[in-house]
Amino acid sequence: MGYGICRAPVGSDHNIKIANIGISSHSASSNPGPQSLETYQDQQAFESAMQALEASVLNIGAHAHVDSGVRLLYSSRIKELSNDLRAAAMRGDKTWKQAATEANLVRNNVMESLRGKSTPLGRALAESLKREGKTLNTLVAEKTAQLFGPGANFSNLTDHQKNQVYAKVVDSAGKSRPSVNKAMRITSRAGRSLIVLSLAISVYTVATAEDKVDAAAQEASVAGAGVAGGIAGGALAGLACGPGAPVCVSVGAFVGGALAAFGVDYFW
Amino acid sequence: MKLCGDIELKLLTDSSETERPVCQLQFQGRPTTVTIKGAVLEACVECEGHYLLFVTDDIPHEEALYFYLLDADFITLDSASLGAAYSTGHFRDLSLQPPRNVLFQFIGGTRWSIEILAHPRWRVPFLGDPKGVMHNPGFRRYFVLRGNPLPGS
Repeated sequence: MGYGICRAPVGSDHNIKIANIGISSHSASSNPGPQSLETYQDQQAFESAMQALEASVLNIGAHAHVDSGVRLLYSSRIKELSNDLRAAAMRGDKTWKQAATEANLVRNNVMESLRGKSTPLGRALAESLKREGKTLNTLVAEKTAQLFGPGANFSNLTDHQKNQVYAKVVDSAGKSRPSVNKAMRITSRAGRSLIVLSLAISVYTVATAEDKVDAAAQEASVAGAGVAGGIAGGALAGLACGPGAPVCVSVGAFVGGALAAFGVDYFW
Repeated sequence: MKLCGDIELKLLTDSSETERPVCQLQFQGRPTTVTIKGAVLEACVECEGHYLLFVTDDIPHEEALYFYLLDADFITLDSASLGAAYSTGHFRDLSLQPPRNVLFQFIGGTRWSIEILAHPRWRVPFLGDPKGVMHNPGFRRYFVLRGNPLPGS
């Protein structure tokens, strides 16, 4: 099975199929001798390599799809949070100061919880640099300067002006970095394309196989192992290399996915 | 080398979901035709007729720092960014180290240094910068960023 080559026991009609892919015109002899056995083994190795490649494509696509999905969730959640707090302050359910304090606190919690939903690679990228966030007081001082000039002092502002500053803090909690959002949208499209490509190859492989049920089961197993192996390989590499090592985790995810796909294909 | 107060940024368009904010560069209070991506000018350093701008996008919870080196006609010679997704930084402790080094803190728990080169150097794109630094993809660079950032947890 796989890539127009049907897996068949030595001595059956496999010689004809070998001739079809043009590996060796000599191997299409009527008697399966040592050379055709060698060709058969080559064919098996080629098939395994292609299965692993297909699983790796799916693995990369799945990683890209998961991480871009998490990013989309992150940007929509923080915007929702900011809008809800703004609405609550406008209704009078919260003071603007309470809304700003909550925005600052909950924003970081949302970031933490969604980091945990990323793939090991996404997490490694997010943890590549130690954060140095701003305190609420620093944010208030900055927004005061932005709104009322560099020399303005928050404590000298009127209540209405102070609320304007707090409202700015609430608004800023709903912002996410545009360049990352843009990159993740591109990544999402690329990820989906790779998943579609991998699935199309699987469908073709199953459609052209003699035993379609067996081929479908093998395709599903190898693909599943590739993705699971990628996640596990990335996580193990993350443990081995420590936090914030995206290159190491990328290698781990790729190698893990390829090895898992090879392994499942070998034992099938 | 000195801090420059002649340059200011005036916000033209705010950031959107996928587009960075855009500012008009103003020199000595007068508008120019030059636009820069960013919202807040954190600092400007003048060095031998060149201007090094430290700019942020006013996204306090996921801030990145952008560096622009402009010539005397405000043409961008080189640019780079420092930051990571889901992480934020805080620009502070700027210190000039003449003749051509600037030290600052932003992210990664390290003291970063930026050296404005006397002459541009050849570089291999995407290689040779510290973690978190993304230089523009050209083959020449006019400044070098150095730092040993710590990973997050």
